[in-house]
Amino acid sequence: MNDEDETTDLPQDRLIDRRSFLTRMSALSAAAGAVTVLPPIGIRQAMAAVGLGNDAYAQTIRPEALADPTELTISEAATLIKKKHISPVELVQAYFDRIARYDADYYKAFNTVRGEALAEAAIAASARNLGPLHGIPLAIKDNYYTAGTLTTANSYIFEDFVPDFDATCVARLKAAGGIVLGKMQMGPLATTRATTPDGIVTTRNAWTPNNASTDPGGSSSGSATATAGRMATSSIGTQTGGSITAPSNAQALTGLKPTVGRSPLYGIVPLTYTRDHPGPLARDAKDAAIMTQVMAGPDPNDPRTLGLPPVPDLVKAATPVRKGGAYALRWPTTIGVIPGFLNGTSATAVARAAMLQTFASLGATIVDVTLPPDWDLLTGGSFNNVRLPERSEPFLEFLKQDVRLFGVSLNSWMQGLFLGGEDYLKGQRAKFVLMQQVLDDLYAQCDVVVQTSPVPFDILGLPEIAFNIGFSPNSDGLPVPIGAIFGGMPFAEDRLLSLVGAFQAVTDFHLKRPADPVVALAARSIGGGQTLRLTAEDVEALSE
Amino acid sequence: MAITPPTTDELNIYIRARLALIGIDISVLPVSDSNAPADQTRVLSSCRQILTGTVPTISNYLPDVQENPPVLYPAPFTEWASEDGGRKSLRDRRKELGLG
Repeated sequence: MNDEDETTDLPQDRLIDRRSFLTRMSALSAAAGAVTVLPPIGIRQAMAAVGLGNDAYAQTIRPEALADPTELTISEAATLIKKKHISPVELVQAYFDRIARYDADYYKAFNTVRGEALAEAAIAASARNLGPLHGIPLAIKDNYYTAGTLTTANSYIFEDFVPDFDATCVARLKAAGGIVLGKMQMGPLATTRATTPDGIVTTRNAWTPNNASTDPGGSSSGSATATAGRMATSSIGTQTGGSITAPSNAQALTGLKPTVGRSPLYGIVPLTYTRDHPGPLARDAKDAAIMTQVMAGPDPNDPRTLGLPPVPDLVKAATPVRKGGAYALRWPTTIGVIPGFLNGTSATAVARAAMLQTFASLGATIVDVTLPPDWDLLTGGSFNNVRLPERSEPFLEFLKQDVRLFGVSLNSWMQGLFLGGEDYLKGQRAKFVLMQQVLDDLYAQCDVVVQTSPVPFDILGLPEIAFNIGFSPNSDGLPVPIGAIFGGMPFAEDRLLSLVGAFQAVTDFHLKRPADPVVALAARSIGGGQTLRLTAEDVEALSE
Repeated sequence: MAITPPTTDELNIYIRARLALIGIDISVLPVSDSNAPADQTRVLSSCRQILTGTVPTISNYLPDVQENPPVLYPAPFTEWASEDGGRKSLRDRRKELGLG
């Protein structure tokens, strides 16, 4: 933790200088600008990652993590690896053992387990330590290109696709010492909870490994289940309509969806190119900060990342601080509560109220906020559908080849063909209207705002952090996580991480882990004896 | 004079024509099979929903085109255009800069 005298800096949402990037003034000129600055295809080396300081290392290791290496956070594992109290080989083997024991029959989180990870861990064990990610086993969503490893996006289209290069985010994680343990199950082409291309449900929520009917969250559910189910230390996913925040909430993880452009999309199978966000699904705020610190920053292969404010020290931001001997917020923060957030007497409502009370005790100001005047219209179904042509366009060749390649996800790719050019441009203007209203109206009332739907901030590309705030029993009596989401202003990742870091310093929700699968219940382990399947209508309704 | 809304059959003809123009063949799908991952009936239905629901809603929305450029990435754009962490509107920034 930091001393209070280190808290006099400001979060990045208070430090942005005015800039002039007039090429971004319109959709058309933005597209033209993108063409002019794109480097030749093939230049794909990762930019040097921002240095990770001592804040990334844990000062103490929990006894349960010392007893079971699959329990370690990145921060804890990094400390043990640095001190040579554990080797990357032991860590990878511990996860392999757990994957072999549970994944195929229960969690179903992996598309591919990379056997090479063990050899890579052996190399890491004898190599110079590269920093906090050195030798850390990571789960990668299967829409990130991984050189030499099958990358299917759970689609018939890519069922045999083996890229010859890594996505920039993957390259950066590997350059920082991370080990790719495997590729994770996901919704077909990142649309819904993980299923096979024809809709058979695969991945389960790690908190109910014997019951497939519990939603594991959105399309990054394989990544989430691997991290929550202790089959990887941390993981990455993508979010277009809630697929980092939803599985993080569903599985008691800390997920960070950065501002659009903060982390590069180069080498990721596209879904909606103005709304796709790469980010971590991690065990706590510190781990999410470490992952984002490595992944974020300009990439010459992704013009969306260029010319943005520099990435601040996110790990320091996530590190709890004390003021007057007690944990406190790093920066004064007003948390906005939207109408209806606390309604009712459900376990969720109770957990939300307690969460806000905890933040108040840390020094936050809690205020009720009003939503902007056009909020319902501009975040509703019709304007959310403006994203659909962005998925149809890059896949036209496959739609022409055979529509059956899209399996159960076909409908939204077809729908995207029926919005006109003027509809699409109107949608971009609507984004601008909404953004101005959010900044002028909503953020005039607060610094961060609670979220109950991913759609508004995914439309706008604003950052969000998801974190666990409690549990409630399901019909089997098993605890199921209750999550919360905070949304921030552009590039407010540091503030969001600082808030959750402080919350986790005074609570223990993030330290709870799900029970292992009950082998005796194997007979009911596929949705109570039935194969669960999503229909085209289900996928369309749930589609990101 | 009020425009008569198109019928389902007219919409289906429009959808099939548009798909044929760009070379997409949905006849490879079963006509109607709830056990199949996709079928022609459901594809046509979902496309009709977009045409009769989303398209009119977007069309009827009339933002000020001078004040609201069609920005692809509003979060970074708005941040670049501000100097106070996004709290100030682009409209106010323009006024400060003497641009309107």
